[in-house]
This record gives sequence, C-alpha cells and structure tokens, in this order.
Amino acid sequence: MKFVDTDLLIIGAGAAGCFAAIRASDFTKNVVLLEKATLRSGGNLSIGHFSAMINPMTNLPGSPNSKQFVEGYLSSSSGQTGVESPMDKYIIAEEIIDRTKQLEKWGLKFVGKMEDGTWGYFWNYRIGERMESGAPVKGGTIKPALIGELIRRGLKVYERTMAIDLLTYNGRVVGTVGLNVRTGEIFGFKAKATILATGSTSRCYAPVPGKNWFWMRDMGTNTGDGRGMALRAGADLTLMEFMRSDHMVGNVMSNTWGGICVNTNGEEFLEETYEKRWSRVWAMHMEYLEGRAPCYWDSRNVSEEDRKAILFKQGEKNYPDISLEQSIAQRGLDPRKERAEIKLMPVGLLGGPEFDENGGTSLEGLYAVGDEVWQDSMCNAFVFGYRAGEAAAKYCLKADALTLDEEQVKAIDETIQALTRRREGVTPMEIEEKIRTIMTYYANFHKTGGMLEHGLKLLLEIKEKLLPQLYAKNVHELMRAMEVRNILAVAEMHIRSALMRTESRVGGRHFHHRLDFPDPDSEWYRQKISIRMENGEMKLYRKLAPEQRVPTREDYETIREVQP
Amino acid sequence: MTAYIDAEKCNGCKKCYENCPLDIITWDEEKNRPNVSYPDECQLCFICQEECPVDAVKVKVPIIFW
Repeated sequence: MKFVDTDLLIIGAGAAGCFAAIRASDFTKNVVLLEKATLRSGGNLSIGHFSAMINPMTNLPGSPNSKQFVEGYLSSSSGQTGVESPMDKYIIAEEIIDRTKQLEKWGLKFVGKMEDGTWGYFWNYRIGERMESGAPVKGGTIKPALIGELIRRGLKVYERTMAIDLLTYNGRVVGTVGLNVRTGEIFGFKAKATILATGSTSRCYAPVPGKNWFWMRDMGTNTGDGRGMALRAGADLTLMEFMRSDHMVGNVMSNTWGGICVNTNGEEFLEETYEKRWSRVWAMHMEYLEGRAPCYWDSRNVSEEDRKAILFKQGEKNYPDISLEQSIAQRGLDPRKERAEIKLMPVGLLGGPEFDENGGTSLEGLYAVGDEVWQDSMCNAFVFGYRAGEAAAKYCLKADALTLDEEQVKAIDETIQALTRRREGVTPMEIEEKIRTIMTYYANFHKTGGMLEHGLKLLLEIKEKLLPQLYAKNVHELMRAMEVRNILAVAEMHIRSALMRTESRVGGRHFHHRLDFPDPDSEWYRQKISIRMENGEMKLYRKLAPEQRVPTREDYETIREVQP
Repeated sequence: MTAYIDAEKCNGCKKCYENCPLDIITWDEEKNRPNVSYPDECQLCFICQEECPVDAVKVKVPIIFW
C-alpha cells in the first residue's frame, strides 16, 4: 500500500473541513484534505441554491452581545435540552463576525449589503429577554469562496477519496486508509493529527414515496462516515438519540417560506419570528400529538411579487423545477385559492464524537467539527472548523513521530478486498434500504421501547447475517458498501441510545420523543449518553453535561487562545 | 428522476462527470460522452446542470404525488 505522509489530515472538504484546512495552513504547509466527492461538490454548501444566514451575530447596529445571546438561547426552547454546552454558543457568538469577514474577503456575498457596510436588512429581534440578529447571504457564494482560498494557499486535496477506517497506535489516531472511489486504488495516509469533518447523517431514513433513496434533505453523500470511523477507532460518541425533522409541502423538501402554517383550526402555529423559529422543528409534532392536525401551508394572502420569490426559492441559484408552487400544482391545488397540507419528514440524526471547545475528541490526535458533531449549522462549522484547524496544527508541531500498526493496516485492506472477491451475496443498496426502512418504522419521530427493541433486533440480524454476505461488483458499489457499514453503525447507536433515555426531551431543532415516557424526567437533565466500542461491543455510559449557565467574559478568556 | 444529457448538444468537456457528488455519471471513452449509469442514485442537486457550459444537461424532477 502506498502511503502519503503528512502533518495534518482532514477528512471531508465541506464548510468545516475547508475552514480547518485554511486555518491550519497558517501553521504548517503539510495539510492534506480527503473528499469522497470533489472539492466543487463536497458538503451541504456545494448545492448552493438555498438561503443561508450568518447568525447569531452580525455587524448591524443594535446587535446583541455574546452574553445577551447565550441568555436568550438558554431561555428559549433550544436551551431546554440541558445537554449542550453554553460555552460553545458563546464562542460562536464571539467569533462568527471575524470568520464572516474572512469569508467576505474571499468572495462571500450578502443578499443585501447596505451602503454603510452592514451586512443585512432583516432579522434583528428582541423578544422579551432574547435577542438575535442574522444577515442573509447568497448560498451559492460560500463554497466557491472557501475553494478559492484553498487553491490560493496551494493545499493538497485528494478528491473522490473516501476514508475507510482510522489508523490508531496506542490510543492515538495516526491517519487513515483511503479508497479512491473511481480507480479502486487504496492509499494509506499517515498523519500526526486527523480532523473528521464528514458532515451530517443524511441517509438514515426512507425517502418519501416516489423518491429515490438518495434524495434526502441534506447532501446524499453524508452517510455518517466520520461517526462510523470514530466508533470503530474507540472514540466516545454522544447524544446519538436526538434527531431532526422538518415539515414539507408537496414533494419539495422545502421550508414553508412565505405564507403561513396553520393547524386544522386555522391557527397559525409557526411564524418566522425569533421565538418560534427555534421551535420550528417540534411545533408541528405538538399539533399532531395534541389533536390539532392536519396542518396546512396557507399562501392565499401572499402577493404576486412574493409568490414569485417563493417560486424561485430564496438565495442566488434558482431552480423553478423544484419550486413549492409547481409541486403543489402537481397535486392539482391552486395555492392562490387553496391551502396545501404539509407533512413531517425525518431529516437525520444529531450527535457524534464528543468534542471540546477546540474540536478535540476523546482520542489523542483526533478532532471533529461541523455537522460531524452536535452542532448542525454552517456558522458553527466556520467557527469550530477554524479553531480545530489551529488546535490540530499546533498539536502536529509538538507531536512525536508516529508508528503504524502494520497488522491493522492489513486488516483494513482485507476488509475492502473481501468485498470485491465475493462473487455473489447481498448488494449494498439491499442492505441500505433495509436499515433505512427499519429506522423509519421502528425509530422515527415517536418512539416506544418495544418498537426500538424490535428495530435493534432487526439491525443486529442484518449485522450478523447480511453484512458478511455484502459484496461489490465494481468500485462504485465498493464505495456504497463502505458507506452502508457506517449507516448501520449510526442506526445502531441511535436505537441503543434512544432505548436508554427513558424520557422525552425537546429543544428547538432537536428532539428525542418516547411515547411511553412522554415527559422530560429531571433525572435525565444534563445527562448525556456516551457510546464507546469495547471488545467489539457498544457500551453506553451516562455523563454529565456542562452547567447550563451563561459563561462570563473571564470564562471565555481562559479558552479564547486555541491550545493544541 | 435524474439528469438527462443531450448527446448532440454536449461538447465532451466532462464537467458533469467530474463534479457529480454521488458519482452517478460515468464516461464513455469511445463516444466521448457522459453516461448516467446510476440514475437511481441521483439526488437532484443540479450541480451537473449548473456546471454544463453548453446547456446539454437537464435535471428532471419526477411528477409524483404523496
């Protein structure tokens, strides 16, 4: 096996991975990025045709300060999970303006930059004690800005290269084995530090009827590769029981921009206000559970001008083909005269490797950032990508020389080769469809212990009986086969954690809901479930989450400087 | 439900083949044209359509009711 020697290895060239690479290159030139797709098409931001928001801080006059923002966050529905770190929110509030200024220098464009130099023209709310502001950016300009800067800095990117498994030596992560998904070539990457930035878990649930299995809301390449690798390498993963949902109109995985969302009584249950925005994801579940379904998207009072904006979605790149309006027309409805019923869909799972304020995980030499971890937003990816890039690069500069475990390298190679040697068996898509169907039926929004146990039993059967028969006819299927291992790992972690958390906990955009334990239990407040692989088995532990209080300026100053 | 490529309009620049994130497009060396080999894996991201300099790629969204 050919080995590439580097200081820092970054897996995933999306928002967080690119930002980490750029920052790391201020300290070391030996940075290598791996991307399963390409630099142009890797990560959620590469799709581009969506509206994006710089938040919670902007340069608008009257914007809240970090303390006010975290206060607001803790008193909003998002703060109610009691499992997140308020310091992470403080860090983002403190540092997002600097990251955005960098991005703007590299080419990011705002939707409505004002003559006085401020970035936005809306979103500057104060409701009760809560404040937030946001500046809308042109979604299609973010990824090109990052790519441009990566190229200017001459950073090395291995495109179409999927990381298969992490290499470890004495508990330290020392690189990875990568597969070129076009040529089938297998490379070793030897690195002093590794950053996981493989994004969200998109392919967990079944698609809506009539869609193919790759058309989910987030990028279809996101299969929890980093989570699977981290688990197998022995890292601690946390909060895997929480999931995300969204509501959809017609066959469009769209936000319900424009118009209003009403329940069966015609009451508006969702407004694009600060307060409601955070509970957007759970609001419709409440209507269902409390007997106020069905829910509708009502755009009868929308002006023709606004209707045009909705038709073309928001943001810069516009595809009328996938507009809300067309989809509604397909159902024979006239949105000018009628309401359209909306539906809930699962988006994916939250949770991932445990991380500190510099993206450091429980394993030495391993960092995780962006949607890979419990973060789930573009601005988090910028801020923590930057911090982890610096922390990992500084770690490389002082790290000892590393040793490889030859046996481990051989074993990973053999895992890959075995799949192509087999001439018959089960295809990756057969297994993927089974896993995602099990997740949809037994581990969806509203869970019960019995159904979760049954789902787990089915997943374990797949693991024991079908996985050993997995085979790949060509390199393309080999990539899918490697992905399905990770999808299975993520699904199993989700079900096991959801079984253990015998309560319901809802906070803003993420939730864990058990029909058999419908209320939050104070026993579980600030309790995180941690998963680790021990002797080939998943072990679950309870850990205490950080104190849910607003950090002081002094608290922040102690961690502001990024340490390796 | 996938990308459709007009072989006559296509100029063989490979942009769609190079950029498809899910790698569903392969390259036919003989014809010097792209081939949508895994249409079931298209996620309708429109990157191929957007990258095509001669407007030869059209991503078509299925007519579906739910």
